[in-house]
Amino acid sequence: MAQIEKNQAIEAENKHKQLDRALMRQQGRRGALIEVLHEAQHIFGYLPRDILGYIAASLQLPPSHVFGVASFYPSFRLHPPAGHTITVCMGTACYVNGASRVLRAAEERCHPRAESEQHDRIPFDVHAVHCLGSCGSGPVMQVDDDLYLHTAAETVESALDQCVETVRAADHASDGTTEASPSGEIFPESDTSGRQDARNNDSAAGETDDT
Amino acid sequence: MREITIQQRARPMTLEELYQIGRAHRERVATFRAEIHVCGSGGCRSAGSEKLLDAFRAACEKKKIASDVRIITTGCMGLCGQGPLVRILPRETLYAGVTPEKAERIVSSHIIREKPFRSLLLDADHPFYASQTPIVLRHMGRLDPESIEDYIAHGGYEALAKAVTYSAPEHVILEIRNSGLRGRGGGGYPTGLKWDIVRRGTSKSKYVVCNADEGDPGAFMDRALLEGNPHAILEGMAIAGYAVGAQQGYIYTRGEYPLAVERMRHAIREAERLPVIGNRIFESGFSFQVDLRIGAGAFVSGEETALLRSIEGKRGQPQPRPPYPSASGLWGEPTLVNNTETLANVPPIVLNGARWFSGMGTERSRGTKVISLAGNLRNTGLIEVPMGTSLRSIIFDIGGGVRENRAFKAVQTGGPSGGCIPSQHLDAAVDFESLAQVGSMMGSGGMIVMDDTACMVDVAAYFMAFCRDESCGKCIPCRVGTVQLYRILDRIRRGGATLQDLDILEELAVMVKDTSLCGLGRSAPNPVISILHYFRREFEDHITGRRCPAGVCLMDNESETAATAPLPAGTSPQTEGSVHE
Ligand SMILES: Cc1cc2nc3c(=O)[nH]c(=O)nc-3n(C[C@H](O)[C@H](O)[C@H](O)COP(=O)(O)O)c2cc1C
Ligand code: FES
Repeated sequence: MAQIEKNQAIEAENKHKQLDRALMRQQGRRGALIEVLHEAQHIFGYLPRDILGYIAASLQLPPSHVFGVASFYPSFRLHPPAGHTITVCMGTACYVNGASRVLRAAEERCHPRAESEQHDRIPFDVHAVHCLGSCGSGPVMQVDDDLYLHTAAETVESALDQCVETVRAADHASDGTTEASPSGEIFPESDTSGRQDARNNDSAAGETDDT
Repeated sequence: MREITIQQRARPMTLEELYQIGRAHRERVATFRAEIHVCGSGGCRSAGSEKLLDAFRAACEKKKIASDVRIITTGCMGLCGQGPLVRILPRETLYAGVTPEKAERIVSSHIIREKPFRSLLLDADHPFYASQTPIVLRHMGRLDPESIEDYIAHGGYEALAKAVTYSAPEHVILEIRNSGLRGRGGGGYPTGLKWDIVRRGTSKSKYVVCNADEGDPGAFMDRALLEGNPHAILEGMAIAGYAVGAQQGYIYTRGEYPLAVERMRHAIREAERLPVIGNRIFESGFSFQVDLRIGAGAFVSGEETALLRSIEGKRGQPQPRPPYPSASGLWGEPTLVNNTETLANVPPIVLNGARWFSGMGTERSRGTKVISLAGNLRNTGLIEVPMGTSLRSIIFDIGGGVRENRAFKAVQTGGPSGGCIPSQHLDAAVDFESLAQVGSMMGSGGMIVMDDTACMVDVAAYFMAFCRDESCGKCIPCRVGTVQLYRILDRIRRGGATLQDLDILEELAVMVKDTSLCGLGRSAPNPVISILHYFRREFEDHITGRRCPAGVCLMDNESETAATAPLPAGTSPQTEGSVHE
């Protein structure tokens, strides 16, 4: 245990050193704050309060200014992320190709409403963004850093399966936990997936009319 | 993130040395037996072009021709929807949908046996490419964006060298004015005129800013340019800097475009190394530096005054104009803000002359326009056509028409500031004036085609949700108006509105348009106004008939009876509400 704490302390110190180096690089450059915030988020994964204060002091800016900037821009996270992120593009091109069903499918997997499915919840944060710049190949979805093109609601299922496998495998390898293999069990057979891609297959377009 | 800074050579380069680099590179390339260009731009890259690169390398190894074949990653080749794309020379041939498994067969067929590999062949006169006029995209997909030598071998930096060596700044501005180039960032302001205003500013320090913040959802022209030909943008900026008398340039782009950021960083380093930017460029008295700044996900920061605040390290909120940035921009100094595509047009104009450029396009919109074609279309991707080309020709000839033989319903241009154009106006020309006449606008060049499965009320609500989320909150008409407009639209969508709501919607739309502080609020009602104008029937169907003709929206009481079924597209308040995280 002591070893773990020690490691954590070393890691925290390393991160601070990295931040200091970033601050040094930006020294004397005008308007460096946003660059520094980008680098800080890259180092810490988000922008912790105390770090914002530290940055303010280093750049000789009022803390209110630094916090105001950090909270203005949607890309800056003020809270720690859940670990893994699914980003669904809700830009116009993806939207007209059925991105809302992709978003819904991802949300249902990661944040199921039904109590009984909670234990199968996947530890992913689901975000919607406005455009990932691959509009010719929509709907587009990003899992951590990997981009998935032409996702329809039904391919989300398999894409999610796939990335959960890889992500869990990687996580297990790194922290040595021995949780039972999740393969095949993560997603209970869903009776909704078929309907979610209504607009993608033509016959289903009429389906909603009947309801 | 930042790598070692390369030491700058003390001595500036000469025009002769530039030619020498180009010649040497061309000679080196000519020694290869064949070239394989793999598209490494956004879409193709994520469709697996990196693995493809390895597969082609391995295939050439296996055939023992590895040292005879030049394999490079290029920028966007256009037909993104059918990626990954690969071009092979000699006997220039484009292959679509290439998988790593096919690499070896393509190599043995095309390069060894000198026969095209038929099954993945893209027809030489494929309609997608047939009616395009690539000016800005002329090198796209043909050169290695990470090699400055390759750009120079294609005539790169010659325009800059010639401008600073032979032309007075006034002369460069005159050339740009005469070319008729207008800003490609949406407003269409005459570029030469803007340059002239900044030139006249008396301040010693001036700035050139490249607006590469491309916030319009569904548009990816600037991304493709940054990734595929970053040096063209740097060269355009440097020429602009020379013309207006600036020593410092900034490129402001999106954090969501990591590859573009990486390529641009690399390009700046290479350009400083040669040096083609830096001190006393091409032995002239002109010095110019370029810095990259990365945005953090706020759409409104693409508006020029907001963008400048963001470069200054502040909240990216717009300010009332005047003063315009050309008079008082970055840190209060005269600043030229131009869009990426505008700047990429500059080197070819300087090289080929104003007359050449103004010979293309229409009377008031000269040159070409890069357009990103997306939506329910057969051929999606990046295209460039002369201004004045009809929507019909773009959508049906180049785009191949609507997918799955469905009926065309509308084309959206101009992003959240634009409008939706129905089929009766398909013959409208794509230029600044004509698109405005049919109630939309050119915008940055994103074009999204919708088929008959789209519900226009839903689309109107979608855009209003976008503007509501992206409103910076500084002025009240925009902050409050977009919320109210969205609520009405959502009520219509759920079948809970009255015909009176339509009147309120129209009245409020006009008010928000007239009274907002910046372009975001002033144009936010545009999609609603145009959709209401062309598709009023659909609104009435939702209100009086309580039904959605396209079958997209679910009426409120229906959602109760169908409580166990998930709601179809865009009807859930959670989904809409979470459009922005
Ligand atoms: C809300 C809003 C967003 C904008 N976003 C962009 C953008 O992403 N890229 C861009 O070039 N111009 C954008 N503009 C236009 C810029 O304010 C500015 O007019 C443009 O960069 C000028 O360059 P140009 O003359 O070369 O077109 C935006 C304007 C508004 C009002
Ligand atoms: S709209 Fe989805 S990537 Fe652009």
